[in-house]
Amino acid sequence: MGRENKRFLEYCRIPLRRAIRVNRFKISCDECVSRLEEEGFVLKSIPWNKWGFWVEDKGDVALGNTPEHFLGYFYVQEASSMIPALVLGAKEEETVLDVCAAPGSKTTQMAEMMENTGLVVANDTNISRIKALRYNLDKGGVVNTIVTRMDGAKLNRSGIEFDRVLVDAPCSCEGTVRKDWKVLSHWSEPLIFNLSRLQKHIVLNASQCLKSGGVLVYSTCTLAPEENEGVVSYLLDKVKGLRVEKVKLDGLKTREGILEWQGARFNEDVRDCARIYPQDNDSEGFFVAKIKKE
Amino acid sequence: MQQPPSALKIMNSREKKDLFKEIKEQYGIEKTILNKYEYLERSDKIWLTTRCALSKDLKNLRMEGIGMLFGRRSATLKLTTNAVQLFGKHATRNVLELEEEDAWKYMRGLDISDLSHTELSGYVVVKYGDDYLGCGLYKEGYLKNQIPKQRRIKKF
Repeated sequence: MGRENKRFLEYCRIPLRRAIRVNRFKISCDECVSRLEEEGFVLKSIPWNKWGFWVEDKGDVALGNTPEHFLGYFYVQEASSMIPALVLGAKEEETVLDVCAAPGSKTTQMAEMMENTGLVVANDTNISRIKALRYNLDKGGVVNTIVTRMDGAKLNRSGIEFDRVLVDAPCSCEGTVRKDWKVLSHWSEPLIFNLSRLQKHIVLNASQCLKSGGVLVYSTCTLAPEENEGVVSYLLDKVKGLRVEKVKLDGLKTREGILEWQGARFNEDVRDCARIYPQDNDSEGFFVAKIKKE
Repeated sequence: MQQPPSALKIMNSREKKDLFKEIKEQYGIEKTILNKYEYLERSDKIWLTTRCALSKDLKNLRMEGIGMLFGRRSATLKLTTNAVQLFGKHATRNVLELEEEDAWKYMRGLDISDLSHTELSGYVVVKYGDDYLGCGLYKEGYLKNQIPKQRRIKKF
């Protein structure tokens, strides 16, 4: 990052703006915005998602204690976390797999994009996180989901072929440092190494669930190349017939994937992956890759 | 249609017809709103989901849940808070409208007394303005709160 290192570190120290996504099953954007504004909140559109808004508290009432939150009119979701579902682009009547779904921000977003039709298999392995997932799906009015608790290897033996697969992988969360500095206290090289191994296992199995012509999105909220380009590069080398497509969303500034890290050279195609730095969009740090199966 | 690998039973057309009739009689919600979904039941609980979900071979999935919990059968059908928030706007019968102060109390999980809706009795759709808050149990001026604890507004 060279000279930009300073700006990157400056932004890492600035607390993250809170963001919401309006639930289109229950209310229109205009109505939800005007109601929250009347209650004293200041909302600003998120350029890459017309249903997303940054919210600033002005009144005495916390966002989580508003009637609009009680009614499920919006979901509190970080602005960059809205990107993977938009890139995946699930459509009505499609069959979609969300491999690491809990607590459900992206599952609910995809269900909304699909107008509550088709099927989203929302999977996770942790039972307490699955409880949160089910709660959020019900509250969001989502009906087109089946919640499963399965290892990736078993998922690809389910016999179901998916039009689209989302792997929002467990990661070292470096990109969330603006939300919570504590993530750095868990950081270590062995952690990154172990996560990278897990991510490769998950994405490899997930890719087997994809039908021909299908799309897989791999995302993390970290900037560690071992967990990002390293994982995508591994997948491309391991599975033939996959190619990376460029990530383009209006209003979102992205950077190319990096091709080399600590002596390791990645597959050239990872250049088309998207790195999202905190200083570029005033968001969390994020990584997204869009992979198409021939 | 495939059978889900659990005790969940998919309602057949006759059972769905009876369910829609019951909902129409109790809440006035038209069949046309509900018949684009499929319904499953286990003991007294009813879920709804999409036709696509049930068209898949589900036997190899370790399922933790399907669709949305829609209601529970007792003497009459009680819709869940989430079902009312989604379909309540289509209700034309047994709808109880609260005043602002009572609506706030209701969202906090409190019962409401001294109401005067003499025509109502049993499970009702509770609303305030254009907002559908959830289901309530109404009898002789008293509305018993049915909002689950974790769904309530906790503080102001």
